[in-house]
Amino acid sequence: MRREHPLWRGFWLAAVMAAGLVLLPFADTLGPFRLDRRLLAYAGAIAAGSLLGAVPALLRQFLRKKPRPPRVPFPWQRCLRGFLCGLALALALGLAGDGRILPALLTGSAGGYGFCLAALISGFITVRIMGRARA
Amino acid sequence: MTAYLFPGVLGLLTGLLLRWNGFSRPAQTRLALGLKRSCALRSALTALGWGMAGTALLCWLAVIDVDQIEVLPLSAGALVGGLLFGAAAGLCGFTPTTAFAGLSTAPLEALCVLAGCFAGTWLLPELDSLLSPLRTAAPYSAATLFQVTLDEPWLLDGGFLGQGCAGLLLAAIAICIPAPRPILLTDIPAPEEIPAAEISASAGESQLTDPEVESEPADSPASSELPDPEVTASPVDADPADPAAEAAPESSSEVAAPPAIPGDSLKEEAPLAAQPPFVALLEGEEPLIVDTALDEDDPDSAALPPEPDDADPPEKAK
Repeated sequence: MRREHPLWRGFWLAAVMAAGLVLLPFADTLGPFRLDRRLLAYAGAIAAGSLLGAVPALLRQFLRKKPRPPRVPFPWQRCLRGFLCGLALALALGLAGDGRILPALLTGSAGGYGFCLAALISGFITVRIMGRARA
Repeated sequence: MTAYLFPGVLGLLTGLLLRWNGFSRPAQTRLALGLKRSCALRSALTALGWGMAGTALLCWLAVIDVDQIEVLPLSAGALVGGLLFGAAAGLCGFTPTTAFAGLSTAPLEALCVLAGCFAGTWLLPELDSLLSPLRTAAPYSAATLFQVTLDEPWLLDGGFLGQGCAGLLLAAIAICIPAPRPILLTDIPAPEEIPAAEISASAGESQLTDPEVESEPADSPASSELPDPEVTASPVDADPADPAAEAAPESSSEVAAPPAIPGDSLKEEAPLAAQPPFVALLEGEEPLIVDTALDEDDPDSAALPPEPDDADPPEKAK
């Protein structure tokens, strides 16, 4: 099986997330935002792992001395939108039952699938509206 | 120290895998929510399928105590929360967990989302009196799809076997989702043609391009103006395992000019040396760069392809 095969990718993602769920309660959604040092260490390591994953490409770019494209400014409106979206994400997860969405999906709870379907519908509509508004 | 070892290692692996699967990029989340071809959608569905099948197997083997399984009830809170969650994730391109992984690709945007998440978590206890009626409002059902608990009702027969089969079916459906299309990005300046004044040595990876433009999935003409940074900036360096190279092309292949083949470009009037290179990206393959500039020392490449005999000029046809 190729390394990029979705079965392979999904298997490892499921395995690691499941291990996180077993070893760290509420590690899936709002857990990292609580003042629990273990969960904060988990969240910080997620960022570190993602940065680590970017190292090979950056190294190749550096060794081949490829120039980088220009920096694009980041407007404050996008900052505000990100903040409000984060606020909404936290409230939505708290409304549905924080820390229980992923276990609910794995065990086949109707609430988890209702949450996912509702999120998919509203996300689909939002992305479509954003695309048309920008077109 | 050992108390932080497991969370740290797990977080490191989770971050690596989230990046590998493209969840660290807002564009991938938006493509997945828009039901476009994306690596993140395939990986998420496959992971959910594997997770369901694995959970069913562990429950059947009694590794997981079914008495400890907490069923999330289907309530108005779950539905309203899902609607709010999907809209917010579509707008910002992150979920709370992927925002941590997004610190490596879109740090400013991810930081704003994380700040909002912290503020929301801080506000949640204050709003509990308002939110608690929604959690218990109708439609209220504590059922599961299959029988995995001893007390709660279930909707379908089959038990653990049914749940495992459903998980495998979900993984099979994820495989059937078409892979991101091969794309040809034209009008990309060669790396040596980028003005030195525009190059910022301190530019972070996330600031290479406008994430809004990069993430625009569909029919926006703006999406073709500024493709994915790793694709445009250094095509040779694009990591084939990095699904970021598969994100923006979804739109670029539809909006960009029809894929020009090198043979066609030879007929144009522009100087051949001024032709930008074509960048072709295929999923899981190294980027292929075909330079349209001919090597004059090579007699095979210097010769123009012969015109077909039946291709009359338009004037003659009239």
